[in-house]
Amino acid sequence: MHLPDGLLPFELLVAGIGGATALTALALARIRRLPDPPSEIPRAAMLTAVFFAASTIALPVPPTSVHLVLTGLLGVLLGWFAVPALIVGLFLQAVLFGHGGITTLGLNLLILAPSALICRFIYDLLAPRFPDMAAGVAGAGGVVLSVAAFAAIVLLGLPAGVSPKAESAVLLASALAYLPLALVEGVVVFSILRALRHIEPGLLPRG
Amino acid sequence: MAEAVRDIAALAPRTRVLLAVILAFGAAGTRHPAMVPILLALALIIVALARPPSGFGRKLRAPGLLALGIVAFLPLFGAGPALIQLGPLSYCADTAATASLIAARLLAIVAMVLALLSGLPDLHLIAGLRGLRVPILLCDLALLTLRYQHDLRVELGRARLARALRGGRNGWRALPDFGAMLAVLILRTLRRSERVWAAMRARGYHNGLGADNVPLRVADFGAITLAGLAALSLIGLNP
Repeated sequence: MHLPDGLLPFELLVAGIGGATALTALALARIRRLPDPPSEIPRAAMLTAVFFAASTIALPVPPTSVHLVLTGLLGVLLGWFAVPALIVGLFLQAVLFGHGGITTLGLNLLILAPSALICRFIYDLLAPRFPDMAAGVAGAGGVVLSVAAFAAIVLLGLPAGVSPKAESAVLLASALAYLPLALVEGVVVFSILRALRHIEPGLLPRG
Repeated sequence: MAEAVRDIAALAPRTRVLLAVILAFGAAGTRHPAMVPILLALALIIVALARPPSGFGRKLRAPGLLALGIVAFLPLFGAGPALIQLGPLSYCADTAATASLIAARLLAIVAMVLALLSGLPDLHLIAGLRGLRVPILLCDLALLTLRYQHDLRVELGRARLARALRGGRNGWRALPDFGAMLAVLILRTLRRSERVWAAMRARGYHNGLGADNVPLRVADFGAITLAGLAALSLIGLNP
């Protein structure tokens, strides 16, 4: 679900960098208000490594295999720290493996980070009464929201020569293809958060 | 200038990061299909001068396939005169030119960024970012992420092997087991990462990794100037 380099117009890329800079500045300002921000770094780095590794984990879901995104999990476990975690993960993926892109770093952050923050908001809302449902919704919601943002950005930026009807049809087909991933992430994040709730509840928000 | 052109590998880490960003945005700003040969030639020159590490070709495989897919399929959705007619499908000439430009931009950017940065040792990459005044929190996060991701992959591989040897379930039914396995892995890695971080702070690590503050040499300034000129030319030239 990463936008690659080269696909989108220059102006959109610059706008993406601007938007991502503003979002990162806001997140860093919120993080600075925490009692001891450096103490949160190991957890954020470890989950960034999980996000980083998730793109290389192929889960066999017959008849195909899928790669996890885990934005919902990052949002729930890290809150505002998910924004720097995602920007670092995206940057390292781009410069070390050529996944995603360095010019699309801003847009990719704008696709994933707001989804992570919204998932945390939804989780905080539901978890006190329905913790399992909150975990599943956060996992699946991360994928659904990211796909929606991805489709919106691609629709904004695809070349003018492409027929709008065909463009919409292809995007709709791609979005539908992500539905199984949403279900997979819902189940995986539900299982992770459920296990954490039993073993180490202090890791969860309001745990 | 001549030294900069001859030996990109000897440039300061922050210069290499800056070159990658300038050249990537220059390539992304290329708008005319006639510029494709120039763009690809520039990428080839950068790759040749940067002497990328082993595994460079393997990392280009996925972007290469994506570029091929763009050239093969995007023109089928074009609106305009057909270059080739295949029954109900028409391969549109105008969109084919646009697709070749997109594919060239993609390949050129990925090749230049990987050639310039993927071979940098982790500490040099982070010091380069610090030298460019990237916030300490982001640099610390990147440093620890690089450190943990190797451990995490090894642990994950071991856990998946153990699960497979125990005859774990497959397909959809395996997902909850996979989630539980990931949770245990997160806990185990987190405890280790907190110990590492506490030890780093106990040894006096408080203000982030030292930045790459070595004064830039003439070769660094030369390389940045040349990259800036190349990027401006790519963006500005419209034959």
